[in-house]
Amino acid sequence: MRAWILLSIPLGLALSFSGDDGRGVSAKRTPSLRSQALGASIDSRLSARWSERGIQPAAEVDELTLARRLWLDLLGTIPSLAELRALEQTPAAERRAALLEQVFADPRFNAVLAERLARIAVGGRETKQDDLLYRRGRLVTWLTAQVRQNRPWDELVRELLTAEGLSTDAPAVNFAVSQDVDPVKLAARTTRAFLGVRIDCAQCHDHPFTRWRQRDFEGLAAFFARTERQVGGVRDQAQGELEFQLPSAAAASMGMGMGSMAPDDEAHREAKEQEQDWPEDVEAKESKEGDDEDDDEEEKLVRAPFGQPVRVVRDPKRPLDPAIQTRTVQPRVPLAPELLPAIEGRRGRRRALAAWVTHPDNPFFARALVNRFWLWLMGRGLVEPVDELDSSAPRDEVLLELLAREFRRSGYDLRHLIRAIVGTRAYALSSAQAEGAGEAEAALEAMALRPLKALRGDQLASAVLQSTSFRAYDERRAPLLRLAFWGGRNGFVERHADDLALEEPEEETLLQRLHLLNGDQVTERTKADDPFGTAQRLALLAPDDAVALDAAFLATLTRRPSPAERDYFGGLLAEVEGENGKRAEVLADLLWCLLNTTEFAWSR
Amino acid sequence: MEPLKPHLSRRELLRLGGGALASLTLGGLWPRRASAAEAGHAKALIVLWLDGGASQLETFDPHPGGKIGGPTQAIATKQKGVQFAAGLPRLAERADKLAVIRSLVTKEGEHQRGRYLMRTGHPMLATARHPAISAAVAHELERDEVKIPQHVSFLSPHPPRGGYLGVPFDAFKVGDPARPVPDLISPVGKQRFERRLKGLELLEGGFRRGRGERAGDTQHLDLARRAKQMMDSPQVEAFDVAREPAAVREAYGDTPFGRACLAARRLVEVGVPAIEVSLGNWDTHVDHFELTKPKTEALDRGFSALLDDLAQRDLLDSTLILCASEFGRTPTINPLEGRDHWTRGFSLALAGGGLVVGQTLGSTDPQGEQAPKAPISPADVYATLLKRLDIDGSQVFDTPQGRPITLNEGRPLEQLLS
Repeated sequence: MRAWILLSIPLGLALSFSGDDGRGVSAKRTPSLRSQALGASIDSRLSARWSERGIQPAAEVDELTLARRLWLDLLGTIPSLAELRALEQTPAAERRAALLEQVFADPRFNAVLAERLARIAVGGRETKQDDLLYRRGRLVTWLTAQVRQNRPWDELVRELLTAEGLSTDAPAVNFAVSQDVDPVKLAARTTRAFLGVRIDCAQCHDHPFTRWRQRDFEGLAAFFARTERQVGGVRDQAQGELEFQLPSAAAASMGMGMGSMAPDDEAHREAKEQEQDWPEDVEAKESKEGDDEDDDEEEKLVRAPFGQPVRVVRDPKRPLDPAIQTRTVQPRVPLAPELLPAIEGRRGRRRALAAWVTHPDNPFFARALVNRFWLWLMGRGLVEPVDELDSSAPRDEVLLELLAREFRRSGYDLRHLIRAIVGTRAYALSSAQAEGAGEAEAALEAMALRPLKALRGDQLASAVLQSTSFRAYDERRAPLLRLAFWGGRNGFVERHADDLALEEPEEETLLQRLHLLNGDQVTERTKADDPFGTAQRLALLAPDDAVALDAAFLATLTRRPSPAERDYFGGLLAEVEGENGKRAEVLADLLWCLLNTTEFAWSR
Repeated sequence: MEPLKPHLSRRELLRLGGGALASLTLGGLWPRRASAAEAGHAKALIVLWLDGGASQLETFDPHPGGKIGGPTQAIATKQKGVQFAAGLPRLAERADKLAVIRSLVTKEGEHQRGRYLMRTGHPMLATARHPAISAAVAHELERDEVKIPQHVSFLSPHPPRGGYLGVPFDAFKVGDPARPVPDLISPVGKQRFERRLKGLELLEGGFRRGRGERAGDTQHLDLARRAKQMMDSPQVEAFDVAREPAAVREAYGDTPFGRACLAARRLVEVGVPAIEVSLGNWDTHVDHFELTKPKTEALDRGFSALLDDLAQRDLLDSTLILCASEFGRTPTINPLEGRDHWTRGFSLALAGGGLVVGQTLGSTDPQGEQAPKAPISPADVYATLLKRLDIDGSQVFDTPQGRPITLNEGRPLEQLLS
């Protein structure tokens, strides 16, 4: 082991401007006892299940693999050689605790957590493209600052739900802007994001499988009826009602039918679901139709092909045509109305809703978040899809309730929750089964085996870049190097963009695979003839083949080679003994192979 | 063949009747079926995608002289009584090879949603992702002998996707064919690449221990094998338009769009079933008339050359061409000399694939006020295309969430089929 440490010093110096050779791992601060206690409860619950079902859990991974897992999950990249060296200098008994301390002290953690929360609130980068009014980046920056101070989740959600102002200087309003400040979209997103419930299917018809009724959805939307987008940003008005135009008038104002929507059941249902997203100004302002920057949202109709009610947000200053008959919808929550405070003042509606959503007795609020975090960190949700908390049976109801209760008790402490989960034995289980173990699916279902998780585009990009540098690309790195890192990362992410509101990355495409095989990012980092390249440095500086192999494997896969791998690649190196050019070529090929493995692109 | 659905609503019957009538009155007095494909089915689809919302008034549905026409002139076409905008002289000459629809009506006036609807024939839902028509065609007509991607998209900033059919049916994204397809050539040469793959296989073997099928399910190694298959296939030469004679290249026009149209033809020749070629930046809210000119020029050349070239190679009857956009543009001209988004009466053009061409369906109001006659939905257009491709539009797929979804819910436009 010492040999590869010797090697890694020049590796680092070749890339760093300062003499600082990485940071040590400190185990001085004791991990939160509270989180440990919760972690222990989780483990004992899972153990009970395993023995109940006769399932043998997978073995626990070693510290190196655990470090890789923690880094990818919580820091967005793989550990650097410097970080691994520091880890191996820590006494074995303290390593795991030290790893946790280091991760939570690392500023990269705040950015990763913030991105995760933004994904929950407004979806991924591709869900809605930035425009004049929508600034997702601002939201993430703001969330990063909030999680750095460890602000509780309920506070953040209340702020997201009630913020006023411009998307640039009041970043929390980006939640409302992401839904076009539209009451129906906001009601749908609020329930999906913060309560893990899809109530929007009930907007046009009563939900067939759950308790939600159409009026539940309308009542929720009415909480946003007074929220408007103005020149000064998002703002609540003192007045305004959500009204639904009655069918007869709606039909008359439509003018023409949509011929192809066959009214059989499936099409009917689909067409109804579409309505939420078809805001259209039927008041004949045709030149404005679909105009992206059209701020005039005071009066809107949603056209309904089947004589369904049509929605109007009424502006008291501009009364509707008296010939149009409407019914007014009052704010109303679909369950636990006793948790809803009185609506008072100009901002009363959204504030009351925010209080209800985040109320400790709201059965969905804590569950929605702990379930999403479980999926994030453990690779499978306790309930999937994550926004069907009301209709899909949990994998483990007891565990879900345990997590929700403890999250609530902690005052919605996000760090505490994460720390508890990643501190469990369950988190440290291997993704490989022992010989003769039962069927993998049963073990995965019982959370007795770690699922393989595909790296997202940004994780993969960061990992490729990190793998050929000794030190971590964190804020201690020289600004120019970090800039180059982010440039390379963005170029890579462009090719590997993950999509839409999905919680987890999509399948890999052929184009992305070609990019890893032949693309410039990997090619640049696996060149044999670049005197500053990793292959040359390994060839010149590693005192022997074993050290070179160790360093290559640790830098990419965060492990040492297996005997078979050592034999094979060691054999290749032995063939070119003494020829430095050839040796660099073999090592460059090895690096290329390592970066192209499933093991590299998937978290094991 | 897709059986007709038994329940044809009265409204639909009326609409179909109206459409047929419109085609008689508005041109196409002698609609004719493109020759040889009488019995055969179309085998490939090329979508010419006008990204950003192309103006019907400056392309296939001009209304010169009135308040909505602007400076755009109209010219006669090979379809009797049907005029195109003056920016499309070559296509006007070939209008007898086109079927034009002027009465598309949708409800999606926003780019992303309009694109989704016009590409898939379904409105965008939060609960399901539909495949683009080109992805569905690639899925249904997938050919083993094709070693390169079955669904290719040129020049698109947001290529069409496979939706519930899966990521493998997302379009393979390619840029201007003037440059080679990126990452198709190993930087280390064939021999060393083979050696690398050997090392890779060894490493993968170790990873599979204890993970078995789950490692295979990631498809990571499998994709590397598929990538190699593509890299080794002579079919990739289809992307290389420099292999064409100068005269052919010239006919398509010296634009990325022209080159991509030419590459599309080459891909059809090697058996690729679904290709999209994108022509971008039609979103002209400002200075519309000037900005539209180079685009109609590129479209006119590329589309016309594609028609001629396919016909000359006897491929037009087996290749469907669809030229469409996410929506049209407003009849009214805004104070910045722009036209905004418009969903109530816009155009698309179809050609080849054995469709009955030389006709124009539907019409819009020259004053831009009345709703168009015989409105047609994108789903109906796709039902028609699927029928020509012998793909059962009524088949039901299960989404990853287990929800059954019908591929297409439109009804074929009979006027285009017989």
